[in-house]
Amino acid sequence: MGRKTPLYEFHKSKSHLGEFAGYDMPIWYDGISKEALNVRTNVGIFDTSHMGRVIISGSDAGEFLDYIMTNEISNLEIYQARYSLMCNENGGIKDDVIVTRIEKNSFLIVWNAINREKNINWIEKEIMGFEAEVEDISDESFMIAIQGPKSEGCLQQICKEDLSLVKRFRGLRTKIMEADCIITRTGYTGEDGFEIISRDVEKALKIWNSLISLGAEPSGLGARDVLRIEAGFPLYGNELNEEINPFEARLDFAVKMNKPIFIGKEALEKSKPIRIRVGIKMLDRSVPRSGYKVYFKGDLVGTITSGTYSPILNSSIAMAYVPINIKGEVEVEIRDKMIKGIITDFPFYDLRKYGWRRERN
Amino acid sequence: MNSTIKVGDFIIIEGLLYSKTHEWIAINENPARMGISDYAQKNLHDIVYVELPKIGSSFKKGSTICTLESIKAVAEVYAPVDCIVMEINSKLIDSPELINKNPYGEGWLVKVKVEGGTEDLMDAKAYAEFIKKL
Repeated sequence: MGRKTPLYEFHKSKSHLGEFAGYDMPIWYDGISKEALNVRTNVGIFDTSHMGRVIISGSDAGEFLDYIMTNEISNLEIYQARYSLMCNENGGIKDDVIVTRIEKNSFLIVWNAINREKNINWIEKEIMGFEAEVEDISDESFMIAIQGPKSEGCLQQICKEDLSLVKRFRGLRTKIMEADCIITRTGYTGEDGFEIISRDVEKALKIWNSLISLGAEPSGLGARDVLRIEAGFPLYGNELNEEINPFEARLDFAVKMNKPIFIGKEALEKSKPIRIRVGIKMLDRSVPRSGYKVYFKGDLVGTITSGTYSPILNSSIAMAYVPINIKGEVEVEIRDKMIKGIITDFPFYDLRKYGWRRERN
Repeated sequence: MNSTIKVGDFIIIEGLLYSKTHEWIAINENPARMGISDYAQKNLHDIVYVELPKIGSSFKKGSTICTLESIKAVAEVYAPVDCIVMEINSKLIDSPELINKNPYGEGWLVKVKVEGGTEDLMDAKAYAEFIKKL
């Protein structure tokens, strides 16, 4: 038996459970494709309480985060959020995170469930000498992601603040059904949506059920994986690890090389990527999976890191690391057969039709 | 329509024979239709791709005759008897979800000429008992 989130009883009765990062998590409720499509067109909710949540506070908190993060943190406004990486001394990625400034001297970091222990041990070492402290609130809080084009309308019905005023990567603090919540307009699906974090764990189920009664469909980790691959987002453990640097992962936007200092900067200054993360859109529905080999003009050039069937594209899609000069058609070896695919930009979907930037009708 | 047995959410059709690996075969038909059981499709779930055999190819009992893919997994379908493939359900190439929608009907996989014995297969009642214990 794995660890359980505050919403476990709901998942147990309504979903197919699976183990993820030591937790018993819902993999699907009604169907992975159906849930993924619903988030692209309507609104879905995900229990993301398994993710790590820590608060860094103290007069040096901003300075400390500028030192351990590749992105700029100390210039965030209150309730502003930012995607960042943490690197090791060699420039390899320790984790990818979202940092939200919640007070002048207090920041909330959300990081990957599989890295919780590694990260906290590392931070406790690095924080020495700074006027700052770290508090892991993962086990004393819950997190719900509400995602999809109709998420604002859904969440608005139980939120007093005007959510239409909240821009992407901004947030606020409010009460939802008497629970003290931090809400940010963020997510891991490519769609518009919000992430709700609260320490009032006894209210988790009440909020979850209210969102369902207002039209949100419970959605599992299976759909979450489809959605993040369609959007071109990397997953730690698949696309990211300590041997891969941010430029290879094509996360340059999250690295501010003009910062005077941060862990990994020196190594990154010298790095010249020879392989990069790419998308591959397959010409049929056969699914490339992690570890499958990628060929270019007959030569083995790389390995699939994630793959799935995309219900909006009606074909399979994947990510892989390949040498930087590779473009156009590749082949993926699937059960001894060579299946054709095309190197494709992220996201895989048409930005005019899907995603939070889509044209409003 | 043959009568059905229900074990929990899973439907089992009388008149078919079943394998321990959850294939069914309509042994009274010639050629005999085969597919996967409701139990198998519900566990595999969300089938997105089907790899069907070539017509005319022969299979030993227990060898892989088709491969099914869901978003999360790859599953092999084993020949329940020694057989030769006479026909394939080519509708599944574009609509693999038919297996989830109707595993005993439109979601059949292949029609085969039976070449060997069926002694290891279960009838509907025995299969119902078998999946009750899983």
